[in-house]
Amino acid sequence: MSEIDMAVIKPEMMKPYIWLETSDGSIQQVEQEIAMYCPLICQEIIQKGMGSSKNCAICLPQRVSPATLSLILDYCHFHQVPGRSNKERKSYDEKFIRMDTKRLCELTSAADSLQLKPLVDLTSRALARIIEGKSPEEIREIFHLPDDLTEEEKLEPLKNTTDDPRIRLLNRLYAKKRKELKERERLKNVEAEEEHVDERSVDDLLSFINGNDGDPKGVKTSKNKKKNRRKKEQQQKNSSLKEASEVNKEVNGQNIRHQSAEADRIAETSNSHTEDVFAHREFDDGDIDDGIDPALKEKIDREVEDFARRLNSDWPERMQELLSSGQERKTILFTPNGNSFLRRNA
Amino acid sequence: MSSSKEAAAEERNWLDLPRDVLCTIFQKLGATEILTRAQGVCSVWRAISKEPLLWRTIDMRNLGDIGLDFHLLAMCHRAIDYSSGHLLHINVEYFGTDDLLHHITHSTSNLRSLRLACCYQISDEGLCEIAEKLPQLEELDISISNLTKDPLEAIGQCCPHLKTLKFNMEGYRRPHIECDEEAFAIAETMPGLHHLQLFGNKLTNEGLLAILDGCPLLESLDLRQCFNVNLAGSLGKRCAEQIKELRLPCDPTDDYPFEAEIDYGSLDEDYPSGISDIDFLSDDDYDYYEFSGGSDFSEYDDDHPDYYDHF
Repeated sequence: MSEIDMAVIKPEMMKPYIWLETSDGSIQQVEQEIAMYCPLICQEIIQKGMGSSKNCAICLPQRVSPATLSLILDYCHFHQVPGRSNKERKSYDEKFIRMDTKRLCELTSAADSLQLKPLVDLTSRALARIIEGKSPEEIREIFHLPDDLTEEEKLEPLKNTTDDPRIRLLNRLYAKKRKELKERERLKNVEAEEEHVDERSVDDLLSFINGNDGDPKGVKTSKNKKKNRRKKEQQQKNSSLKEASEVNKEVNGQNIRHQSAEADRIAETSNSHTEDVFAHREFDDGDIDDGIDPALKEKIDREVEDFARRLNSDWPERMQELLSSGQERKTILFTPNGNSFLRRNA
Repeated sequence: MSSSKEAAAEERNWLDLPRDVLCTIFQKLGATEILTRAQGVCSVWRAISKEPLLWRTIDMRNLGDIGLDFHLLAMCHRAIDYSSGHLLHINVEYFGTDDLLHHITHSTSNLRSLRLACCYQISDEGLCEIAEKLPQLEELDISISNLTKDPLEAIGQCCPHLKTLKFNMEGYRRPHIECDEEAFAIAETMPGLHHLQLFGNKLTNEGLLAILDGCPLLESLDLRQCFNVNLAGSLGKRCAEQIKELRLPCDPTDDYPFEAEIDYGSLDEDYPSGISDIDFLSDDDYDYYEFSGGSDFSEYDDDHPDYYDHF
């Protein structure tokens, strides 16, 4: 707190204790020096003269519960003592944030509402560490978050800012996948309509129920058809997965040895939750085949399929491995001139 | 009933964090984590990951795996798009291209710092072309590249606010090459420079003198692995007087992130007759050149025994 602020405090306000009211209505007495480490409380005391008695207790924000207030005051108590070394503070902070995720979230929220920036930074870093290296599914599970991203959002194309043929192919792949999704959706709707509309007369239905003249296997047949269709789809899916994990070959003279999150999207069915790596740009699905000579279209399709096959599907795992290895990882790499090594301290 | 309330509260906890707090958390995650993980979690996180202020700094480090270049390049393009002109600092390792530079300068004209490490696909022409679109640039770091003096000249002429330059190469003694072109380019076009790192540069005393004359505001100078510089005598004295923080050619390289002092081939390869440049050095020079102990400042040490206390 600055000297100017201190000068504003009247002698009668300089009390060793102040009163704070938490979100549940409970009031507690706290050492003024400690509480004033929080900018919000400091403002209330200096500007409004609040907290001097139980009757005019400082009302803390909604997000500050008695439990989190207790934690915050512990933090303030340690940090407001002058003369502590950085090493001591660091050590204290590390121990302080060892708590479950739920409490850490509550603490972050409370610290933010009290404008206690150092604590917000500390807890934010701790939460970031929890998130690091985890898949979107794991993150959703930890923080109870909804899985509300659409398939469209997961298949966004990349703006082709470079002339990289791989990006063009990826965009084609995405567009193709989106088209398939739309087609599937359309078929589903048509199927649903077909199921609902039954144009048979009551007499026909009765005779069918009684087993007269009707084909009792009628429904069963359609079921079997569906089963067969599903089997076929499953086989196709498996074969495409196999293709996607095949070893890479040359694409436009470049050996794509790396793996791709996109390949997962290509290979897996539309309900897979994969990393969203590319930016949304104006990319018309019609780009794929509208006004294209059938022979050329076939060639492009083959090229796209080939590209999908060449991309391996374990890139996210490798990326995760690289990211999680963090600071300890040292890699050695050839430079393009081929005669020297570079050391990277990643 | 109470249990469902608790469950709802538990779910609410995280999503109820204010947007600016979530932004703080995302900033601590870093660009790659946001683009490969956080963005795919839910719509709220997705929206936050597109927050332009989150992308004022883009730090895209390749952890040494060439295979990831294409993906990092794609992610970097996306991050630049998200920044919507708010981009101030960018760090690119290994995967930088001329196209990427164009995308950066097309997106913002307020870039303050640019770091390009091991970006062999970036050409002189590419960097020269974008130089005039970086009027606010204060810090440029080009480490291990194929670039020459040309982009340095262009940057010097177009970036009047440039205060920090790192133009680092691989340090090696053999083959013995001398080149002052970069040093002269810096001296002629960057008078406002405060900090200069020329790790492994081939400049000679002449180039160093030009820098000291041309950059009067220079506070720190890193000449580690600049084996053609001999700081004995008056030049060393001048460096000590003019530069607050000086790193000498043979100083430790522990804090340098790349491999230091690489010899390309043995002496016999460079000098088939078995005679090397060391054979042609005088006794005084030999002392400096061969042994990296403390003879660099021999003349100066006698007068000022506490010289090294400055550093």
